[in-house]
Amino acid sequence: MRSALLVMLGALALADSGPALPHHSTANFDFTKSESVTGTVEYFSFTNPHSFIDLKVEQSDGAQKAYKIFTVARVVMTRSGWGLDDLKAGDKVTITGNPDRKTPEYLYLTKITFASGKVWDRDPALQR
Amino acid sequence: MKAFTATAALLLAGCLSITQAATPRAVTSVDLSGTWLPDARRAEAWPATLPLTPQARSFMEEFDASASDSTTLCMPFGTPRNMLQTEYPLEIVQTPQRLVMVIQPNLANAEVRRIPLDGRELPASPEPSWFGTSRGHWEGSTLIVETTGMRDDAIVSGNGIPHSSQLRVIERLRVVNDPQRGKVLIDDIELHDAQAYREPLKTRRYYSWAPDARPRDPTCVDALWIDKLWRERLQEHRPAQPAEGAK
Amino acid sequence: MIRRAVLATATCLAGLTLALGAEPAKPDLSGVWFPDPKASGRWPTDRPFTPATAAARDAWTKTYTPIDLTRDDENTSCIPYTLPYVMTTITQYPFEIVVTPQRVYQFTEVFGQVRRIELGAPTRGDQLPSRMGSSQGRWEGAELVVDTTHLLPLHIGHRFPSSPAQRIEERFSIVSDAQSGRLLHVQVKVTDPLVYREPVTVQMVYKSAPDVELGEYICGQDLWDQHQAGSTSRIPWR
Repeated sequence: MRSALLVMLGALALADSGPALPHHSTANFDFTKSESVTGTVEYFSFTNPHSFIDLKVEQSDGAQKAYKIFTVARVVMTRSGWGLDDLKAGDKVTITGNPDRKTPEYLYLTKITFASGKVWDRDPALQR
Repeated sequence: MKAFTATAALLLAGCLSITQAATPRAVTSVDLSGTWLPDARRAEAWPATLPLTPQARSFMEEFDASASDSTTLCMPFGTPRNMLQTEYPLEIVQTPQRLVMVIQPNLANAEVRRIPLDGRELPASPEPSWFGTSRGHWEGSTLIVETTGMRDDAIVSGNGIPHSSQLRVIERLRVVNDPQRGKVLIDDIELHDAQAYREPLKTRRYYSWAPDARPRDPTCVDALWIDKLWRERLQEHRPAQPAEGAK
Repeated sequence: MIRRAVLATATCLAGLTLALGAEPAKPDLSGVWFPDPKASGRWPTDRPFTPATAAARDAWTKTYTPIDLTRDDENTSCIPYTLPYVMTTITQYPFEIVVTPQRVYQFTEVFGQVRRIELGAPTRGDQLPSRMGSSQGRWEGAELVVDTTHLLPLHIGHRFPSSPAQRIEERFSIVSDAQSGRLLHVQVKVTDPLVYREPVTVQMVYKSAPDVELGEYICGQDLWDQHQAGSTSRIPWR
């Protein structure tokens, strides 16, 4: 079993087109669709090569839905205007992103409004 | 006749000065570039009793590597531990404006220190990072490097010498020609941290010139990756369940 | 006297001409570069796998689902990049080129990886395969041609499978135009007869970013932060 696992090493999900990718490959996100959610940050994994946010979004019926928001690398974000203290657990934020085709609660972040009101818009921020 | 000679002399002088400008200048300061192997046998051991503050002393007495040593999770040595370690080569790339130091341990990330030599000031309170923020300047043929802004959850040594984010590292680097060992890089390191040490800690490290030494690819994370696959992915799919067959 | 002065000046001028004109001007590749996603090419969507490789990949996929290769990302688990991917990705990580007489260094921000391109006599010899491989560079006029071998083979199910026979040739050149400024062009040609029927070429374009300093890239930071948060050991000054 171990050797089989060793053979499985090396899965590379990063595709060769589109912006820097999170846990999922580009093929999984529908770039023609865009969704906005407002919720409370449960957890923020601020790291390289991909960061993610666990968001609790309140539904119209009062139920809480768990969203996972994927973004680019921490080093890319901080170079493009995302402050080290901009986001933390407990913050109420609004996020726009492209949904995953199979798992609609997975979004690939395109824009975020932080609790402070500051806005980080990914494509203009990454523009060179 | 005299005027002609004078003109010719002037022309020659002008020509020579242009030639001088056109040909690359010899490096006037020392060149630390190259691959250097730390000399473990000559690494100065820390004294048995260190001048630690009570906070630092209690941290060291209770030190548990699995809890507090970053390298157990393949995280970096950080500065200055990356300069104090005696296992992995140090590569230095020097240009007139800047020095880059690279240590590639068997951990998840390479450790890259960028040291500007252009005279800019060290920022007052740099954001803490693993490798710190450095500035360097020459004093004769010794390079003085000052580093601040190092994370306080890194340690200085494997036995748990801690440091706070106030740590300031001063290094004096010079190259000597040792009759037995050849070219040797000496790094005199001082650690200044009033929160952790009652007086600065000082030590010296020796590096031997090793132009053929090559860093190895790290394997530290491979075990973590196998475990992750096993834990997260395979366990989602028990043999009894039909495979999801992703495409 | 006059003759001597004239002779000296003539010699000096001759020497000067030689010094300036002996070598063709090599472009300066040094600096920080970002991939240009719009101008750069891509790997072909239908790569020219050999029939044996294509069959082996199908078999691998059938055997090893439910491991979902589009979900399991080795780089997220801190397995670093390998050539040629490092030089064909359009992900917005910069690299920095530093040119020294014996070697060209390429510092990649991702994983802090360092690549050395030897310019002197080949020193290859017996070497272990590695992710960055062993690179030998030579100038051909205004192009730096880099030949890389000894690359770590990547298994058949990998996104970019490779055999030990893999060889990469890159051609680095500088293109300047009034509109885009200074651009680094890198033509990447991957030859691997055990994997591909024919070489695969990707043309990359990089934009100069002289104001950017490579950031400290640490993979696994969140693992460490979580570990510290749950740790029984206290950091004394927090």
